[in-house]
Amino acid sequence: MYGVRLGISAFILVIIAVLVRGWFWSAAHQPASQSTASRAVLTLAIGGSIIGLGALWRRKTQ
Amino acid sequence: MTQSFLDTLNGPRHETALRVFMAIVLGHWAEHLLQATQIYVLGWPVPEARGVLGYFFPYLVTSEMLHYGYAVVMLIGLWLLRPGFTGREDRRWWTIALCIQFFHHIEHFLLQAQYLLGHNLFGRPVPTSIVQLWVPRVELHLFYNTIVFIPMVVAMYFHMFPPEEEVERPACTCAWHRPVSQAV
Repeated sequence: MYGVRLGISAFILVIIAVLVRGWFWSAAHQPASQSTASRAVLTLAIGGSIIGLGALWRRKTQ
Repeated sequence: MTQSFLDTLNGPRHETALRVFMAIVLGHWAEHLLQATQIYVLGWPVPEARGVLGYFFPYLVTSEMLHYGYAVVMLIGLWLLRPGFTGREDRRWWTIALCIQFFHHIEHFLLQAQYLLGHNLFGRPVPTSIVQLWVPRVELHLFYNTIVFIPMVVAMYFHMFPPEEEVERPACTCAWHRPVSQAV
């Protein structure tokens, strides 16, 4: 159980790392309006990923 | 016949079907993660960053076929495999993923239709989806794929390891710790 949960969590952390990298890249390489929109959706995606991690680790399972 | 196919898919073959489905989903992620790496880490121009298959077969990306194909397969998979999620938590998370993927698929359908009809919406030089009017494509689809994948994988986890309070529900072969009477 912990192995599966750790594996899923590790993959989600990879996704979060890419999203964070994209967040900083957008700030540096896109025009202001595009950058704001990109960072907004990337922030939402990071938030969703963290919610997913929380759901995985919060509940006691069989 | 259709019913027996669905019964098999959501009964004795549910575990196999979910494994195949997950392999497809991870293949899709490989495309997006490599594309993001090409842009964010390697500094490639966005139009040149086409992921794994798009690098070797650019037509798959420029024709919108590759990602529309993934979107359709994911939508169909999420829909067909949903009856097998019989618990409260796994079904709820899976349904969230299905709803989000439905909208994601609409966006890809618009892109595919523009390519096939040879006419782009909104007077744009390239096929453009609705939300793409405000959000750049690469970041938008990273967002879509994340918010579909997260509930989907949480659903799969709760399907394999049901929450403690769901001991009464029938256990699928996917569940790692099934009651003995149902495991035989």
